[in-house]
Amino acid sequence: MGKKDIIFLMMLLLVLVAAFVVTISYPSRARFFPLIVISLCGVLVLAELLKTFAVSFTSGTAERDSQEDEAFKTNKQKQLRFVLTIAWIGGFALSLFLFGFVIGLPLFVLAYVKMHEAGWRWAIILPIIMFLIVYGGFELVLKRPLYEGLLFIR
Amino acid sequence: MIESMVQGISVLFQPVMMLSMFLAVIGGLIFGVLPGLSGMTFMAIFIPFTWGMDPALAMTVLVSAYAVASTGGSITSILVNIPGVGPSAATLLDGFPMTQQGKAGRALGAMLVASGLGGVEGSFVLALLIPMVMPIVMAFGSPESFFLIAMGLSFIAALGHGSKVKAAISGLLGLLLAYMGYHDATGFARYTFGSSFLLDGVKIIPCALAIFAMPEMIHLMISGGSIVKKGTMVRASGADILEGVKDVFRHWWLHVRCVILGVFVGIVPGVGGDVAVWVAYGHAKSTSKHPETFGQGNIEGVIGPESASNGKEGGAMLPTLALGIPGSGAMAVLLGAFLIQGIQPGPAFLREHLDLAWTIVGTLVLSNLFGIVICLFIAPTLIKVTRVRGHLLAPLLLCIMALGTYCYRNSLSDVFLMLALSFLGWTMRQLGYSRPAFFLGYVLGGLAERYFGISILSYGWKFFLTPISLTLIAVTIFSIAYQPVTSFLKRRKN
Repeated sequence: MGKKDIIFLMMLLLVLVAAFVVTISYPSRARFFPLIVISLCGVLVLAELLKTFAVSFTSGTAERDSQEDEAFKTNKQKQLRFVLTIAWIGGFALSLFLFGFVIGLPLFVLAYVKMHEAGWRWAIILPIIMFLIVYGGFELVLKRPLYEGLLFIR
Repeated sequence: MIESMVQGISVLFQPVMMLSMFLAVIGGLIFGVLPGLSGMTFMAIFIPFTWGMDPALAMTVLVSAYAVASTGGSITSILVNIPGVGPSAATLLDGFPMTQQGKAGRALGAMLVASGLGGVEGSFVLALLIPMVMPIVMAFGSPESFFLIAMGLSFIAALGHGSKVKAAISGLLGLLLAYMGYHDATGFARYTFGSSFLLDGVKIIPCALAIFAMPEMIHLMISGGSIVKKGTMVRASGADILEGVKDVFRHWWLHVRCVILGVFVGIVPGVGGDVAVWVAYGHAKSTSKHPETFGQGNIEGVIGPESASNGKEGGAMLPTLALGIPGSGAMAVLLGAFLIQGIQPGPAFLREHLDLAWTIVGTLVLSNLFGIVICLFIAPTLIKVTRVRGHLLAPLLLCIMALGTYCYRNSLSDVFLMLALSFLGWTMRQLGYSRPAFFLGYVLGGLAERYFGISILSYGWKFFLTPISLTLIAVTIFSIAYQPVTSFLKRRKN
C-alpha cells in the first residue's frame, strides 16, 4: 500500500501545483475559494506524504511493500486481469463511439460475455436483453434520441 | 401543515406510485443483497433516469430502494457471512453463527421484522421532528445557509473510515472538482482547458456514477467469478421464521431503545449508519442478561443492530431535508437527486416543498412495510442473486450506467468523463480515500461559494454577525475540536 500511496500522493501534489499556478492568474473573486482549497489540500497531501515516507522507513514497511510487490509481480494473472479490465473499458468507450448505443452496447455485452463464458447461451441472451432495453425501452417507448455512432451518423 | 401532510402522503396511494415503490423496493433489496452494491449505488445508477420525472415519483423510487437496501444486505450477512452493505456487518456477528447452528430462519425472521419495524418507527420520529425544526429553518438567510454548508463540510473528515487526513484530502479534491466551469458571480471559466464541454462544470451524474458505482464494476470485472465463492451453502429454511418474528416482540424494549439510538446517531451529519449499528450492538450486549453468548448466535445481537440499521434512515433524512446537510454518503447522493429536480434541500425546502417532505416520510414507512412482506416471501430465492457470475453482471451494469449518464443531457462526453473519472474513484477505493467525503465536497463546494458570494454582496464582511450564524460557527468549531481536545485531555490525564 505504501508505495502506491506515495505515487498517488506525488501525482496529486503535481496536479495541485499546476492548479495553483493556473488559479493565481484568475480574477480575485474567482480564485478566492479555489486557492484556499488548493493550499489546504497541498498542506495535507504533503503531511500525508511525509507520514507515509516516515512510516515506510521506520517500521520497515518499505521492505514489506517490496515483498508484497514481489508477490504481486509473481501473480501475473492478477496483473493481467487489471490490464484486461482497463482494455475492456477502453473497448467499451470505442465501441460506443463508433457504433452508438443501439449497436455498440449489445456488441460489447456479446464480446465480453463470449470472452468470459464457455457457452453461447448467455452470450446470446444478454445482448438481446441489452438490445431490447436500449432500442425497445429508450428509442421506442421513452422516445429518447440516442447517439448513433460515428459510423452510422446520418 | 396538516394540509401538506395529507397532500404529500395521499400522493403515495396513486397506483403508479405504489407500483414504482414496489419495484424500487425489489431493486433496493437486490442491490442490498449484492455485496459491493448498496442502496447508494442504486440511487447513483437510478438518478439519471429521474431527470424530467415528477419530483414525488423520483424521490419515492430513490428513497424506497435506499430504505430497504440494508435489509437486503443483512440477508447475506446472516446466510453466507457476507455483509451486502456496510451497516449489515454488525448483524453477521450473531446472525451467521445462528445459521451455522441451523437457526437461519429464526435469525432471518428477527432481522426482517426488527429492521422493517425499525424503519417505520424511525420515520415516525422524523415526522415528529419536522414541525419542531420548522421555526428554526424559517429564520435562515444566505449567511446562515453558508455557515450551515460550512458545518456540513466540517464533517468531511468524519465520513472517512480510516485516516482523517485522507478523508480531508478526498473532501478537498471534491471541492476542487466543484469549482470547474463558470464561476457564478463573475462568469469566469475555471479549469476548462479551453473545452466548451467543461464550461458547465462536471455534472453530478457522471461524478456520482464514477465515484460510487464504477469502482464496484471495475472490482467485479477484475475479481471475476460469482459474488459468493463456489461451495458456499446458500440456503435458508423458512420453518422457524415465525419464531424469529416473535423474538422481536419478546425483546421489544431492546428494539425500541436501539431504534431511538439509530435515529439520533443518524441525525448527526457525517456519522452515519455504520456507526449506528455498532453503537446499537454494543448497547444490546452491555444490557443483555447473557453478554457472554454474544458472537455465538444470540438473537439480541441480531435485533439490536437491525433495529438501528433502518431506524437511522429517518434520522439521517432530517439534516438532509431540513438543513441541506447530508448525514452520509447516500444522503449526499440523495441531495444530488434533489438538485437535479431543481429542488434545493435546506431551510427553504420545508417552506416550499413541505408536501414532498411528507411524501418522503410516507415512502419510508410504506417501503419498509413492503420490504418486510416481500422479504418474508422471497428471501430464500433472493439470495440466489449472489450466485450470478460477475462476468454476466458487470457488462450489463456498465451499459446501464453509460445509458443513464448519456440520457441526463444527451452528451457522449459525459459518458467518457464518467469512464475517465472512474479511475480516480477506483484509485480512491483501493488506497482507502473516502469517496463519500469526496462527493460531499463536490456537492457542497459550489453551494458554499455561491452563498458566500451572496452574503458578501448583501451584508458585507460582517455577514457572520447574526445569532444563528454565530451559533453555527460555535457548533462547527465544537464538533471539529471536541474529539481531538478530549483525547488530548485523556492522554494528559493518563
